[in-house]
Amino acid sequence: MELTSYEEKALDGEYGEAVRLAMRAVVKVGEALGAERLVPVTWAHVSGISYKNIGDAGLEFLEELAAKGARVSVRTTVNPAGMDMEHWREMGVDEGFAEKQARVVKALISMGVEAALTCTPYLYGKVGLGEHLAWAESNAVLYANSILGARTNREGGPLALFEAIVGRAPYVGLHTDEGRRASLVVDFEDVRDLVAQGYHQAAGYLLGRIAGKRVAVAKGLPPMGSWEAKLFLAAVGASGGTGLVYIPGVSPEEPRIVEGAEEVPVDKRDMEEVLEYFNGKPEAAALGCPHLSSRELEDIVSYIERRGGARRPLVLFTARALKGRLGDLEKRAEKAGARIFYDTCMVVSPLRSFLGSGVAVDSAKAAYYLSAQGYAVKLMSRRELLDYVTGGGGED
Amino acid sequence: MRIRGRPLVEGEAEGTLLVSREPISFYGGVDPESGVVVEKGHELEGESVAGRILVFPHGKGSTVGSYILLRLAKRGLAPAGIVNLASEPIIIIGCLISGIPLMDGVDPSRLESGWRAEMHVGEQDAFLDVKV
Repeated sequence: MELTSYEEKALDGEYGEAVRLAMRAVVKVGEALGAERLVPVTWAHVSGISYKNIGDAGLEFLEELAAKGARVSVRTTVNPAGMDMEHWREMGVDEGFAEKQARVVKALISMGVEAALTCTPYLYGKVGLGEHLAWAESNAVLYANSILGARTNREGGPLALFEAIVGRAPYVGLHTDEGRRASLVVDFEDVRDLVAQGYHQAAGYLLGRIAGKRVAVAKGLPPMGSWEAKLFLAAVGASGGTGLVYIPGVSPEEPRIVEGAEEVPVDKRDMEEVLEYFNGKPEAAALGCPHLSSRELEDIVSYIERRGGARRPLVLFTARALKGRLGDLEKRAEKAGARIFYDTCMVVSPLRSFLGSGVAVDSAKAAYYLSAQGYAVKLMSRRELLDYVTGGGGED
Repeated sequence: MRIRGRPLVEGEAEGTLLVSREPISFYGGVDPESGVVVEKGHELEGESVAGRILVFPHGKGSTVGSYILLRLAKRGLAPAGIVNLASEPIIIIGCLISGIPLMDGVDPSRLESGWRAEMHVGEQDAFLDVKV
């Protein structure tokens, strides 16, 4: 691989042990993936923050790296933690877990990381067309590439941290023009009306499964707002390995499609199978996978207010950055029977201990990961979910 | 028999091969407390990776898998070495932070569990000496 003199010096340990380790990791991965050089990145986003996921090994790794003097060299944000950093007791989190989760966050902060604790970094900063990023977290990677036209691979938790330290990522895959060519077209024309009723997540789930790691074009989808694109892309990232889906009319880039690309139509039956697969019996509902924007929170709270408030438990997950910027919305939500938690989400917090083990969601990503954790999950459109939460009687 | 591959993480290892034709997810697929493969229906289900030279095509699943390799290494339960067909970042980073020798470019179908082997990964070269 061709290295600049800064990169060579970093490898030789001239900038200390932490930079040497980080550069070695980035170069090794680059060589393995066939990159000819590294590319400077402007923003890193690190996953693998929840103590529930990374355990003592992850905690010790981060603390040791911090002790070696590691510092990030570009703007760096991080994924959700395993609990609301303030109101963890109300989530049924024990002291031991809370202490270790706090140590994870402290180690990251000492390296210069912003403790954003959100999976939607794209809502909290500007990203330009063609800008190179080093983001982990599949939904954020898909949003950055597909909606913002930025360039990042699905970098993975510890790798993104190493890339944050050296400010570089291997110039390969979705960073390159060639790696961004689509080799698959998925046609949603036949199910356009069904998707428009609020089933973007089921469409995304199907696309991810068909695509695997291939860059795809999603043809025939109805016009969608940014919250619908979030749900669509998060589902793609849960069922598939790809990091870029062109959505004509939404994506800023014109897709370049390779010759002989496969074209796969989706029919009504395919959509129904996804919804039937996640058909458990809910006792409560959760929204915010990916984290809700302030606009979504406003819409959700207003809707349940109009319907006379929630009659079933509802939790909403969002980013700490919104705390204090919501005005009276937090109080209104509480009055309407919905609880807002920050810093964490339904997938990485112990949902069972504060909400129960049967849960309605509008996110296919959440449905996928909660099912794997043994929850009974009911996948609904957002509208259906809010009607379920605010409905009287014993339906369902 | 000497099988050459591409060097990724330097080191030496000696042990018995444990070979999988299927990819491995360390996060969720291998118990970090015991080193035993726990993924339901996996061809290595019930086998311990501890001290073995583990051969599989590539990693899969969550990137938290890198930390699981580190956790295994700290408990003395990590594989002695890893041989892949094509390594990806989860395995490369995991081996690098855990000090597990890693090479790729080796087709698992050429190898069988139970064979003894010595593994060498240098800066420029990597090979597996298999005693059939």
